[in-house]
Amino acid sequence: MNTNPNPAVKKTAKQVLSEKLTAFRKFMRVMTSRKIVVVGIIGTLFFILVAIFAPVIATQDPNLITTDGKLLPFSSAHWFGTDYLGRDLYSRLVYGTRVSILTGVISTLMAVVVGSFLGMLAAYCGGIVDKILIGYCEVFNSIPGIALSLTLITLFGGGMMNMAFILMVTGIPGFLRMMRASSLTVMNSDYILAAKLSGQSRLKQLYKHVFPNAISPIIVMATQHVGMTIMMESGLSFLGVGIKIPTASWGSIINEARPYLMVDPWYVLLPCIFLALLIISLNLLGDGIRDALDPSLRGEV
Amino acid sequence: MSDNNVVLNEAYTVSEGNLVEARNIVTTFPYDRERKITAVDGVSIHLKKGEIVGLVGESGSGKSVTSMSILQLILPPGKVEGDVRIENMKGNMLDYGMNSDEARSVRGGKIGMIFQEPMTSLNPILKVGFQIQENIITHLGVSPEEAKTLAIEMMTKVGIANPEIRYNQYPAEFSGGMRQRIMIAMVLAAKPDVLIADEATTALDVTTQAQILELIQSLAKTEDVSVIIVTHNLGLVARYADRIYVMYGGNIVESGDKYTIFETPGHPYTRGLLAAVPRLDDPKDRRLIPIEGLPPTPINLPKYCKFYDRCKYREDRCKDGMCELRDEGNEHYVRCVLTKDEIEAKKAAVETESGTVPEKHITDEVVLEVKDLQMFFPILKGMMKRKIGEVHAVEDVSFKVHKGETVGVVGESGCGKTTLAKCIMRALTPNGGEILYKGQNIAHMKEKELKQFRSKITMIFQDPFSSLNPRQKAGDIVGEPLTINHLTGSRAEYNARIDELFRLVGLDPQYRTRVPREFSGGQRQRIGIARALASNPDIIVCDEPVSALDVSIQAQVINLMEDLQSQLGLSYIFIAHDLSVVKHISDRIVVMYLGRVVETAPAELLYDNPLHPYTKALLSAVPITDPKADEQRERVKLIGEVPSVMERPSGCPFADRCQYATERCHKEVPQLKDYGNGQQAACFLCDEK
Repeated sequence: MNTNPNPAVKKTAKQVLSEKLTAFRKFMRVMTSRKIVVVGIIGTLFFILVAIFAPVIATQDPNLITTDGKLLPFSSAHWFGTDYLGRDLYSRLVYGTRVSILTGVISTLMAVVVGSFLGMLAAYCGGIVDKILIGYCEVFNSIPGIALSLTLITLFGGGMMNMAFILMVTGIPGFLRMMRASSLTVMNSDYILAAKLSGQSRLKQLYKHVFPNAISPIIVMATQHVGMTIMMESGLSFLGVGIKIPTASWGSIINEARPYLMVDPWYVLLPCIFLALLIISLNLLGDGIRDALDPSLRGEV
Repeated sequence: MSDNNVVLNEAYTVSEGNLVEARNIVTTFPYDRERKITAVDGVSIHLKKGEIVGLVGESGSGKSVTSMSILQLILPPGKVEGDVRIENMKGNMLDYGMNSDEARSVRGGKIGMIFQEPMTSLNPILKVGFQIQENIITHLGVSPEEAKTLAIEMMTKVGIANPEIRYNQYPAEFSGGMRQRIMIAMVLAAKPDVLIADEATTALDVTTQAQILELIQSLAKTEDVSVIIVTHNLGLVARYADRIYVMYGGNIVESGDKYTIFETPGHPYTRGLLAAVPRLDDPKDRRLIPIEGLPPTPINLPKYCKFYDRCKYREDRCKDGMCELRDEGNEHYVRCVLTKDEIEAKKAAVETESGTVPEKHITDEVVLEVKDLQMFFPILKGMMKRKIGEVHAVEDVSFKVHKGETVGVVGESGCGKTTLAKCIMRALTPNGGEILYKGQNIAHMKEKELKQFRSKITMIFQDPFSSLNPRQKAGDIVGEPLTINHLTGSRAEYNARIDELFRLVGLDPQYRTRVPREFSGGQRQRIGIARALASNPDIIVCDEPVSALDVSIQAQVINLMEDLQSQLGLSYIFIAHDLSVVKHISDRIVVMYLGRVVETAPAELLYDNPLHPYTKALLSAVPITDPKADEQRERVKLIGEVPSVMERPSGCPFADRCQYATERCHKEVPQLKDYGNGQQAACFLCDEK
C-alpha cells in the first residue's frame, strides 16, 4: 500500500507549485537578506559556469606550448600572459577551475553520502558498531589531514579521481560525527517514540523520520566542506603529489610559478586570487544556507 | 489612587506609600523592516509598601517583559518607553541608561529578581556561598568576612539546613527547590525593597512550589520586602497575592484586590479564564468553558480592545478605540467598554452554559489490568559499565482500567509516572509483573507479537512541538498508524478516515496538507489526539497532555477529550502533575510516590477524604482559584523534597517526609489496604484512626 497517498481535499497542482515557490522564495529571501551572501552566491555561480564552459571560454588548449614566448605579460593574444613553458595562462586557469571544483564537489558528495550513512548507522545500531565507527573517526582525527593524504597518494597514486577518493576518506569522519549527533537528537524526540508505538519498523522510522530531520546540518557543513577540499586539493597539487602533470590545477600552477615570483608576480598571484575568491564565495554561500535553514531566522518559531 | 493622570515633574518620585510606579510602559522589538512586535502596550502598575502583587496572564501576554522593562533588562534592539519611578530615586528611571550606576543600583539593590530556571540562574562553577557573598559585597559594601556571616544568616532564613557546610557547595549539589531557595537568599541578602519572582516556581513540583511561595510570603513580612509574583497560574495568585493585575495582549485588562477579582471579575477575559480553569472543589459534572480562538499575535496589534476577537460580550462600539481602565471603586479597575451592569445584563444571553460533562459509559469490563508491575533501571559505573545497583522506578504497581473510565495518575516528578506510562505502552520492558490487555499479558511480548496490540493502546504526548515530525504533513502524521497497521483498504477509504479524524478533533480537513509549524500549540495537540485515535484504540495513555498549553486552550483540549471518551467509549490513563486537571477529568485517581502506589480512590472521595498523608499534602499544596474557599481548607505541609530514587528509604517510602511517621513506618513497607468505597491506601496510620 502506498504510504503517502494523495490527500482527498487536494490543492490543485498549481497551488502546490505556487506553495513550493513561496517556500523557495522565503528561503532565498532569508539567504539574500545579508548582501554579502549575494556576493558569495554570484561568486560561486561564476566559478561553476567557468568550470562547465571551460572549453568555450578558454582561448586555446591549456597544455599547448605556444611559440610566442615564456612568461609573457598580459596581451590580447594571451590575456593573462604565458607560463614558464609558454602555455596560455588564462586557458590553464580556466581549466584549473574545472579540476578544483570537480574534485571538491565529487569528494564532498561522496563523503556526505558515506559519512551520513555511517553516522545514522552508528546512531541506529549503537553498541559495538557505534564504538567501531567512532573509533575510526578518532583515528582519522588524530592524524594530520595533509600527512594522511600524502601517505594515501603515495600508496594509490595521484590523478583527479584518486585525489577525490582520498579527500573523501579524510572528509568522512566529520560528516559521520555530525550525522550521528544530529540523528541521536532526533531519535530522542517524541515523534520517533510515537512512530515506534504505532508499530512502525525501525528501518522505516529511520528513513521517514530520522533522516529528513537530521540532514540539515549536514547540508550546511557540506557547502563549507567543498571549500576546504579545494584548499586541500590545491595544497597537495602545490606539493606536486596531486594532479598529474601536465593537467592544469590551481595548486600545480602556483607550484610551477613559485620560482618566478619576482620575475612575473602575476603568474603566481592570479591562481592564488582565483583560489581565494572561490573559497570565500563558498564559505559565504554556506553561511547563507545555514541562516536560511535556521527556522528561527525564517521567522517560523 | 489611579495609575493614570498624575502630573509628572522631575522632582516627583512616587506617591506616598508606593515603592514603584510604572506608567505607560511600551516595549517593542523590531520584527522586520516595517513591522515591530509590541510586547507591552501601555502598562501602568504600582507597588505599595509591604504588599504582594500578582501579575497574571497567559504566555505572550507581556507579563515577564513588563517586569524586565521596569528593571531595564530589555536588550537592544528591544526598546522601552514610558515612565518608571522608584522611591528615593530622582526622575524617570528609564532616562538613565541601562548600564548607568543608577540603573545598576536599582537592579539587585532596590529591586531583586528571581527567574524561572533555577538550573541556569546560578553559575555552576562557583560555590553558592561565594555567589551570595559577592552579591552582598556589591550592594551593601561590607567586608568579605561580614558578607560571609550575612550570607550564612540568609541561608538559614531561607530554610537551608547546615548552611556552613552548604556554603561551600556547588549549585549541582542542590535540588531545584534548594537552588531556588539559594536564589532567594542571594537576592534578599542585598536587602532590596522589592522582589520580583518571574515564574519562579513554575519549574518546580507542586509541593516544592507551595514551600517556596510560603517562604517568600513569610520573608516578605520579616524582611520588609514587597513582592511582585509574575505567573500564569491563577491559583497561585489567589493564594499568595494581595492585589492582582490581569494582563492580556500587552495590556492590563483588570486590576484589583484578589477577593474582588476572583469573586466579581469585571473583564470578560478574567471571567473567561475563571470559567476555563478546573478547580479541585469542582462538582463532578462541571464542564469547563474554554475561551474560543487564540491570543493575538504581538505583530500589528489592533488599536482597539485586544480581546475583541475572542470576547463573547463584544459590541461594535468596542472597535472605536482603546478604552482606558475604568474605576469600579475600591481599587478595582476594568478595561472594558461595557460597564458592569451591561455585562450582567448580557450575561444570560451570552454565557450559554455548555452544561455538564457528556455522559460516561463505564462498564464492568476491565480493558487493562496492571499487576505488581516492576521496572528497575541499572546504575552503571566505571569504564566496564559495572552494575552497582538498581533504581526502582516502578515497584509493585497494580490497578485496573475499566472500559470508558479515566484513571488519573498523579505524583511529584520522579515518582515513576512516566516510566509507568512507558511500560504500559511497552516502550520499556518491565522487569516483573503483568500488563493484561483484555486478559492477555503483553508485559513481556516480543515486538512481533506486540504489533497487533500497538493499535489498541495508543498515546498522547506532553509536548505538542516535539511529538510531531516537523517535516511531515498533518494528514500523513494522523494517517501513519493506519498505513503501518494496514487498517484501511483503499486510498479513498484512507482519505475518508483521515477527514473523519480531523473533524472528530475539531480541525478542518483542509488543513491536512499543512506541516506542524503552521498550527498553534492547541491545534498540534489536536493532531496528536487524532493520531492516537486513528487506529480505533481502546485505551489512550495521556502523558501530561495539557501541561504545555495555556489555560484557555487547555480547557478546549480537556473538553475535547471528554467528548471523545463519551462518543467512542475510550478508556484513558491520564498522567499529570496538575491535580486540579487530573481530578477534573478522572473517575479514579492513583497517587504514586517513589515508584509505589500510596493511595487509590474514586476522584471525589480522594478529594473529600484523603487517607494517606502524602495525598493530603499534595491536595493542600494545590490552590483553588477562589481565595475565600482556599483559606478555609485544611493545610498539610510537607517536609523536604522528593528524595532521589537511588536513596530510597527502607520502610515506607514517604516516612522521611511524613509528620506522623512512627518507628514502624521506617522499618516496614505498608501494603495497599482496602478501606471501602473503592478506596485503598498504603499507610499503617489509617488503621489506627
